[in-house]
Order: sequence, then structure tokens, then C-alpha cells
Amino acid sequence: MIDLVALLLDNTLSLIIVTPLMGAFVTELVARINKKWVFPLALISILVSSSFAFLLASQVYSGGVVSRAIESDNPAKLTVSLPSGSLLPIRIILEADGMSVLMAIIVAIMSLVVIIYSRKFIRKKLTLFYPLFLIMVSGTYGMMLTGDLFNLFVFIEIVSISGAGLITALDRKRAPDSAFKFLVMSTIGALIILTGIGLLYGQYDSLNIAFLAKSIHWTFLDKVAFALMLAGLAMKAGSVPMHMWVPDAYGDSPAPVSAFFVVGSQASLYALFRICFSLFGLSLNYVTAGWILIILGVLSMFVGVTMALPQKDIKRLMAFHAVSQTGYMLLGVGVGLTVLGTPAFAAFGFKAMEGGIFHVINHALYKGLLFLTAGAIFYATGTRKLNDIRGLAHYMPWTTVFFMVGAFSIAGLPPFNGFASKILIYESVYAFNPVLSAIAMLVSILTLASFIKVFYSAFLGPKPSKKPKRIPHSMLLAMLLLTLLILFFGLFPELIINNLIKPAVMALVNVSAYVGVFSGV
Amino acid sequence: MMSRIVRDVSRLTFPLFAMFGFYLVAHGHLTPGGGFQGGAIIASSIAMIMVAYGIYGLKEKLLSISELAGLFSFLILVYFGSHFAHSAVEEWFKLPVVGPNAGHLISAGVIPLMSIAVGFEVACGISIIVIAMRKGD
Amino acid sequence: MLVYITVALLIAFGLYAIMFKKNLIKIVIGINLIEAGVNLFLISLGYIQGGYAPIYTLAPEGLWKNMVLPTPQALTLTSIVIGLATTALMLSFVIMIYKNYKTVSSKEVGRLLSD
Repeated sequence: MIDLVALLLDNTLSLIIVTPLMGAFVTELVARINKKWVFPLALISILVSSSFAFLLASQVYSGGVVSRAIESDNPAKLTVSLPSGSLLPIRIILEADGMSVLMAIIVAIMSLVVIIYSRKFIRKKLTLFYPLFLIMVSGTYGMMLTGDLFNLFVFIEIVSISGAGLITALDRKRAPDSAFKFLVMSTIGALIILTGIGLLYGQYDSLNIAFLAKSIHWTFLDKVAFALMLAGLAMKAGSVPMHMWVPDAYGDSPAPVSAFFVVGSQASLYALFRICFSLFGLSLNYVTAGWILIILGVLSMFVGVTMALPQKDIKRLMAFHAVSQTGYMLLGVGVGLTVLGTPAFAAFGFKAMEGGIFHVINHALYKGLLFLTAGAIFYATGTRKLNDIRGLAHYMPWTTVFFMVGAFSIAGLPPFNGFASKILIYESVYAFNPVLSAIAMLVSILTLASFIKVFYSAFLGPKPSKKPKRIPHSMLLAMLLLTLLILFFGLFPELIINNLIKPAVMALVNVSAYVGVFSGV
Repeated sequence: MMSRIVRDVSRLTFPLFAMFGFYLVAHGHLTPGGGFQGGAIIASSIAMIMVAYGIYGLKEKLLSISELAGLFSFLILVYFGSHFAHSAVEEWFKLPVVGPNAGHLISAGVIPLMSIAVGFEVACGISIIVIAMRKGD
Repeated sequence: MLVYITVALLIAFGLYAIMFKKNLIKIVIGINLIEAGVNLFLISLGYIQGGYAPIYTLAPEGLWKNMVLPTPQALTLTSIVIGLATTALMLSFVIMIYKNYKTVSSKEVGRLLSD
């Protein structure tokens, strides 16, 4: 018994990824026998993997970086010595530090909420949804926990293939167009990333992030590889010059899937940060890379919000806001990267990175909540067009409250979590460059205007003649969970920043901890 | 159903294709190739017959259950194999390690069984894809 | 050197097909071309002129050092399998699009999106 517990504790890292994957196969098999068992099984595998994720979080916060080699009884033996005397890593390793654990917590929360929400939202007959969703969850965990570049590519592809399948899960009329566009874009992105990985592998004979970080010399080919990986991951994260798939993919997928797509994009964002800070962290020219992130961020913020203003479709509108909010994270982290290693980093750079990374988790929560409320509106009325819906507050008081919380939070109004991270970004970016801070505030105001428009036209107004469908309790429960988390994060930001965000920023900035897995190299 | 020439040629070449696929699957541990490649060739021979004769009567449910069976047997073999394979993997860089009767068809422990399982799964999976595309949903 | 020229040409042809062709099937073919280029690039990383397949029993006695590197081949195989899944899924989407619009031209697709 003790052995079993020790074994589980020892293998948390791989079990997080394996549990949803096995769950997917089992649900696929069970769906052919009895369709009633599909949802409970999916729920159980999500619950198990989420609890493993929290377990891993406690391990990392108490004991530092956790790493685990796949297919090894002896985790210490990660390298072999070559005849020439140098050491070469041979195993595929999984590695978790503060940043990956923070992202894993986001996936744990969101996957749980989404699966509760899907119980009634997804038709009973549609058993294909759960295996695909579980595979996507597994791929997202994998992207965050892997310490190997090729595995990163494989998990990116897993996420995009299962995601493209999920887009068409409910809608067979409009969704295939969006899914095709999404799949073409993400395949090109992934192939660009693979070319970059190949360039690095050709030079340094390894795919291991920690090992590569030590051996990179910043040659011309390395610069090309960095540019290729940056472009591919920015494309997958939905940053502005390559954002055209975002509104289609988010807009036409079923609401719970859109809520999880946010996390999928953030996984790419995480990979972007990992590449900037850990892989090239020892050799990169911080100012250039930082300004690239800042420019991408400012463009995303501004273009996203201006495209969102005239939208008539509620989910497309929210999708453009997702692009715009991604800009805040890029801005915050980019400012941190620009001043990394200078005295200014202690003055405001650290705070900017805290703001950017705190915004990642906040964005997942409130954007998830907004997409879920949009799904509730769709469930009740059968349409997503803002012109066709009005006066829903008469019939759906709870959904109205949840939408208000989400909207105020995304606009950055004080008692909610969006304010907590945005104020950090405003303050620190003002110290760096006042113009950027002013743009960020302007975008926030435009966001508020856009959501007031949605609130006014969808929820206020005369009672609609047709009574909308009642929202099931499971959907309300999922939205309530997110609302409570948003309020908690908004009321006690210090608690979250000290316990979750600081270790994440430290993990990104302090490269030696991540690289130190190969202490012998 | 396609023309007489296509039907006859595909009927004549079907055994050759399928046999080549089975050969690749069975010799996965000895020659380049293996479960995936062999399975893909078997599946393409099946697809050729289906397209030429217009027979799409293969039961999709049966295929998918056999695909899952291949998958699960692969996982079970991986589980058993990983208990015996460690030492071999660790020694990889020192000296190429081979088990008893190297180079013969029956060697390399569970690896040929694993490649048979993979070949089975891939053949069924690609056939399912072809049938599903034909139905168009 | 010839390999890298081929890789560049394959990727360039693929990008051309994706950007300038209106037929969705041709776009899928373009993506497959890019994939082939990237796979060829990966394979070429571990290739030795006049090398043997990295199978112990096939290489001549004492010439194990001339075996090509197996890792890029494993990577390429994984990449090919992923490419198969992507291609199958994209073709299924094209079939679904064809059922909705009765065409595979990207000019016509999007008609349903606008209304």
C-alpha cells in the first residue's frame, strides 16, 4: 500500500499526461457498449488528472524543479558519456518548474469546469466529444510539462488536431470552414516550429531544452531557429499578424470548447515564454527579443479591440477580445524581458512580468466564464446574433450576474481579478514607457465600451415574447465556480501573487534552476 | 464499381500488396519498416479493393473494435516490455546489444509482437478513415 | 547541398500552393509538400554519405560507425504519422465543405459565414 502511494507520488509528472489519454481510449471503447457511462468516466479521468496536477504543484512549491525521465528506473542517469569525453542526454524528460505548474493549475481548473458544463450542453448522442476533449486536455498538459523540444511539437499537433475535431463537434454547416482554416494555419505553424527544432538538433545533437540552453552559442542558424519558433508559436497563440484563425475557430466551436481553446492558446504562449527565457535565456539579446514581444503585444491589444467593436456575433466579439487580452500578457512579459539583467529589472521589470503572468491565469478564468455565458445564451435562445436577442435578464438572472462579473473583470474594474493584474501592468509599463501604458489603458476603456454594448443589447430591454429555454443546473454550477474564483482572485490578489505568480516569474527569470537538471553536463 | 481493367488489375495485385504489407509488419524488427508502414500498405490494398469494386460493406463497428484491440494489446505489450527492456536501452551507446538468435525472424523479445499490434491497429484505423470519408460524415 | 536545395524548393512550392491556389484540395497538397520538405530536412540531419540503415544485423561487421543516426529517422516517422492524421482530417473537412457548398473553391467557401 505504502509502495503504491510512493510510486504514484514518484510518477505524478507522467500520470498527469497519461490519465486523460487512457481515459480517452477507455471512453471511446465504452461508448460502443453503453453511452451512459461515457460522461462519468470522462469526469473521473479529468478529476484524477486535476488532482495529480495539484499534487505536482505542491511538490514543486515545496521542493523546486521536478523532473522525470520517461522509461527509466534510474532517474539520475540522464546522460551517457561519449568516447570523446562529453556527456549527451539520451532520455525524453518531463520537467516542471513554477511556471509550468501554474499553467498546469489553469488547465486543471478549466478542464474540470468545462467538463461539468458540457454534461448538458453536449447532446447525449454525441459521444465523440469526450474522447477528443480528453486528448486535447492531455496534449495541453503535455505542452506544459515536457522538457523536450520534439515532444513539444508532438503535443502542439495533438492539441491542434483534437481541437480541429472539436470545432465541428456540434455544427456541421459553418464549422468545417473554420476548422479547415484553423487546421491549415496550425499545421503550417507547427511545421515552422519543427524546422526551427531541426536547425537546433542539427547543430547540437540534442532535443533537450535544458541541455540545449547550455550549449547554444547564438550563431546565425540559432537566430534563424529562434525567429522560426517565435513566429510559429506566436501564430499558435493568436497574436496579431497571424490572428485570422482566432475569431473563426473560437466563434464557431461549441462554447465549452472555446473556453478550453483559450487555455490551448495560452499553452502556446507558455511555450513562447519558455523558448525566450529558458531555451535561449543564456544567450539571447534581451532588448531585441523583448521589443519584438512588446510590439506584437501592443498590436494585438489594439487591433483585437478595434476589430471587436463592430462585431454582431457574440462569440466572434469575445474571440477578438481574446486576441486583445493576449496582447497584455505579451506586453507585460516583453517589458520584463527587455530590462532583464539591468538594474531596471528590480525596479519595475519583475513587477511587469508578474502582471503579465498573473494576467494569463486571470484571462483563462474570465474569458472562460464569458464564453460559457455566451454558450448559455446560445443554449437558451438558439442564436448568437446580438440583433436577435434582448431582455434576457428577465428570464436568466444568474447568467446575467455571471456575465456582468466576467465583463467587469475583462474591462479591469476594481473588485475583480482583471483589475489586479492590469494595475500591475499599467504601473510597471508606465515606468518603462508612458506611451505603452496609455495605449493599454485606452484598450481597456474600449473593452468596457464593447462589453457594455453586449450587456445592453442582450440582457436589457423589454421582455422577449418567446420564453428562452431554462439553463440546466450543471451549466450554472460550472459558471458559478468560475465566478467564485474570479472574486477570490480579485479580493486577495496578494495571496495569489505571493504563492503562485512569484514562483512562476522566478522560474522563468532564474534559468539555472531549469537548466540545472543536467548538473553534470 | 469501376471499369473492368481496374477491377482485374486490382484483384490480381491485391495479394501482392497485402503480402508485402504483412512482410513489412512481420520483419519490423529486422528491416527498415515496421508496424505503421506495413499497416498503411495493408490498408491501402484494402482501400484499393473497396474503390475498385465499390464494396463498402466492411462493418465499421467491427473495424473500430479491432483497432481498439490492437491498441490495447500494444499498450499491454509496452507494459510488459518495459520491464525487460531497460538494461538494453541503457547499454545502447556502449555496444549494440542484441538478444538471442539475432537477425532471425523470432528474436528481439516483444518487439515483433508490438509491431504486429501496431500494424493491425493502423490497417484497421486507415480503413475506417477511408470508409468514413466515403460516407462523408 | 542538393538535399537542402530540394528542401527549399519543396517548401517554396508548398507555400506557393497554399497562398495562390483556390482549390482546397490543392491547399492540402501544398501542406503535404511543406511536410515532405521538413521531413527530408530532418532525415538529412543524420545522414552519412554511403551509410547503412541503423540496424545492427544489416550493417557489415565492424562498420557500425557508418550507420546513419537513428534519432532523426524516428523523429521523421513520428512527423509522418502526425502528417497522416492532419491530412486525413483536412480531407474530411474538405468533404464536409463540399457537401455544404457543392464546390471546393475557396472563393465560394465562406458564403454561409456572411449571412
